[in-house]
Amino acid sequence: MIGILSQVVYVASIFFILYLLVYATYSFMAVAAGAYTLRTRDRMQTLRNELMHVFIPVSIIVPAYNEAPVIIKSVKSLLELDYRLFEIVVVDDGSKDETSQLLIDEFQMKNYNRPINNLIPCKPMEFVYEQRVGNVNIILIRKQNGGKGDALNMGINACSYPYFICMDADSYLQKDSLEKIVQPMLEDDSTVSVGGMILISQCVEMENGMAIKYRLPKSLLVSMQAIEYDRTFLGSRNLFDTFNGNLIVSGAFGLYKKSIIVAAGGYAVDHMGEDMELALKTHVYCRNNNIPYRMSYASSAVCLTQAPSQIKDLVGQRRRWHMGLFQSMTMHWQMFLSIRFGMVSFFSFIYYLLFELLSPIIEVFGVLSIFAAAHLSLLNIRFMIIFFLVYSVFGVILSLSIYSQHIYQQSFKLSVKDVLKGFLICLLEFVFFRYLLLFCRMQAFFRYGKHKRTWGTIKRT
Amino acid sequence: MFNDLRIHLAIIMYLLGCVSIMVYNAMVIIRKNNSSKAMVRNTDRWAKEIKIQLEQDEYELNPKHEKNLRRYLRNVEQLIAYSNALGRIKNEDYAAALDRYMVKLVENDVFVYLTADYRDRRTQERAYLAFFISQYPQVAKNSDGISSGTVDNMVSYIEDSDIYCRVNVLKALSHVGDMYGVANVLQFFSERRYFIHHKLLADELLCFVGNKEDLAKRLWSNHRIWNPNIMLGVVNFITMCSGAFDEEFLPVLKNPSANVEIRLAIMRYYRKNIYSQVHPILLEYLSQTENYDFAIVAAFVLDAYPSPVTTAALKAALESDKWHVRYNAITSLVNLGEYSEDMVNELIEHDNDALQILQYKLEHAGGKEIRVGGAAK
Repeated sequence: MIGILSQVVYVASIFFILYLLVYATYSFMAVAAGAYTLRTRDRMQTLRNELMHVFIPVSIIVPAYNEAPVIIKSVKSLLELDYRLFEIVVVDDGSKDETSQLLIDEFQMKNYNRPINNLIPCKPMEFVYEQRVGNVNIILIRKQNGGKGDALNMGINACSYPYFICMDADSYLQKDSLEKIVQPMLEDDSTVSVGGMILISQCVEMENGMAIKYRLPKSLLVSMQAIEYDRTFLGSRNLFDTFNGNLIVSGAFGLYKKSIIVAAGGYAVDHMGEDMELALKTHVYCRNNNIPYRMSYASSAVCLTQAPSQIKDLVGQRRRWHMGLFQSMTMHWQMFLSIRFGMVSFFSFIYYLLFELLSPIIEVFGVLSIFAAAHLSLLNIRFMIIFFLVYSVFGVILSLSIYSQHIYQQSFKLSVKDVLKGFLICLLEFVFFRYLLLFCRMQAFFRYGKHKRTWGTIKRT
Repeated sequence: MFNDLRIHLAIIMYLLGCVSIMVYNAMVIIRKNNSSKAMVRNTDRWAKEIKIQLEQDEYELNPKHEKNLRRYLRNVEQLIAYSNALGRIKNEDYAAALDRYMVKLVENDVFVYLTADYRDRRTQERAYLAFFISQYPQVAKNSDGISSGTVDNMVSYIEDSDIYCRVNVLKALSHVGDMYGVANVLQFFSERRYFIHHKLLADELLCFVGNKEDLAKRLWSNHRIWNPNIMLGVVNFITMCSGAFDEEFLPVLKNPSANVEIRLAIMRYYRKNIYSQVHPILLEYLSQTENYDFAIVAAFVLDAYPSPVTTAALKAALESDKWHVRYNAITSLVNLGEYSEDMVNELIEHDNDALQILQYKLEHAGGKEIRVGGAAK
């Protein structure tokens, strides 16, 4: 019996070491790809290698549910964008607060019987208000509650232009972000979606619609999320973008070609990760129909969003995200090890499966293996500690690399104090935050099936 | 047992890799800071040198200045600083003197030399020089008009280039006003199947400094040869700047094998430029069911062709299966003022959303309301 157990522990330990090595390789590649991409882009901006055009017509869809505290500020910030041809479509998904009334009063909106082309099924609308502010048409649609995906589908049905942006009601766009996010569409006609970069608003000081200062805030929780966002948006997304392999276009800020999204069936309803599901669906639709396509990522198109500052909110948010990941991957299981999907299948999908979706199970299994190995006297404690320390330092340096990339990418200036703080936060992020996330992800498995249609909420600060 | 595998060495390798990236980032930050300072210094130096030139009574290019231009502007960082300096001086009421200075640069073939030198550079650097020339197109013009040397060199940049370089070259040629250069570049785009977004192309062509009508004729003369994406941009450009293509466009619109997008763009041209001969073709397209895009655009364009036949055709289009056809048909009827009690009653009978569209359009037109059983007035 002990012999068999020893064999199992041996095989498991080989698996875990390979798992870590593959993850380390991926992480290193993400940092390298991020460094290369950002440096190249910076150089190209200096040399005016940019396609500037502000007349690609874009509809900005803002789904809202109980967003009364932020909705006016959010719409006002959109009106300040440096772009010529866009409209704002706010979809109130049956809010219980004053979201619609505040908008109607603030912009003196008028009730219209706006006809809506029902391209994608969604819950019925209750009323539509419109107002023109300068050159921008603001449309408010109030509909029956159906969840974020359903609200976005209503927005797609109601919008007038061939491209649309979806964004969160509590997010703000940097002044030049629309101009930047349409650039990949100008570069390549086959581009069907473009993801923007998300920054945490608590870290940023804005002036005239542009981020001018970046500081890790006092809240450790928010600071650790800032480092995590940097790793995702400046590392992973850039790496996946090199082979058209991004499996997610952030729901907080993404641009889409309407015709393709409508043809693919729009957003999934009753879904916790409608943004990822749409990205996977787009891959599947285009590959199945032999449509040449590109899903781009534009790190220069910046959106600011508020990160949860309380552990309870963070846990809820991450649990929802993980449930969404689970739903999306199981819905599009056909992408698993499929030659038709190429790198998207063999690199991106596998990554999300092993290092995101299954990571809580694998990591808990790893901890159990350590205990089993210790019990069977197979554990080399000295080696384990060294291994853990080396790997921790590796993770911290990796985060620091990404952090420094972020700083130079946006030409922010940092003091010595900021640098030291950055180092401390990277360390804490690696030894504390990832285990908190592990806990959230584990919870997602146990609580899967509950609150599928709920909107995520966080305490505003 | 894993000591033997030396796994931690592999991790250390990754760690070193990460450190190297961090060092790289640190170096980039330091270099960026240094180059920012150097840029300010170089801009000041160039501004000073140019001002000395501008303030000379006998206006001849100082040989030393010319030597500096030929020597240092081969470096793209210096070219950026030079451009910054020119921009600064332009804002200091030196405009007239600056024009004379530019003439001297042309007479001394400074930019013929530089554009030739940049031919072998990386595409990003070529793109920047083209951008510079789009900002200061005088450097590519001589007393006879266009400096063919500078322009020819720029056209050659297109070979083995990326989209930014191609667009910047097109931008430069448009600002210089070189019709043949623009046509050559588009010919090149078409032959190589280089993509340029039709909106971007139309935008760049609209910046053309020269006779846009002549440019339009020259570009349209290639419509059978160039690829449809290029021609779509050209048709959009013509729609925005010319009304002299009624006869030229008509055969293409009639030709069922012509590119769909180009035909749709031509239909939009005929909304802006009324041409009676196109009226029956638009009516025919309105009833098109093979490709509804034609019916959608025809319903939109027909408000420029008021007649009882148009009204009847638009009313018939209200029964179309396609929402956009109904929407545009109602919009055109409202624009033509052709809505009546009978029509409203008919819409009620149709039981589709056309009545709602009509109501919406009338609300926007002036807050009118439709009464069931009686038309709005």
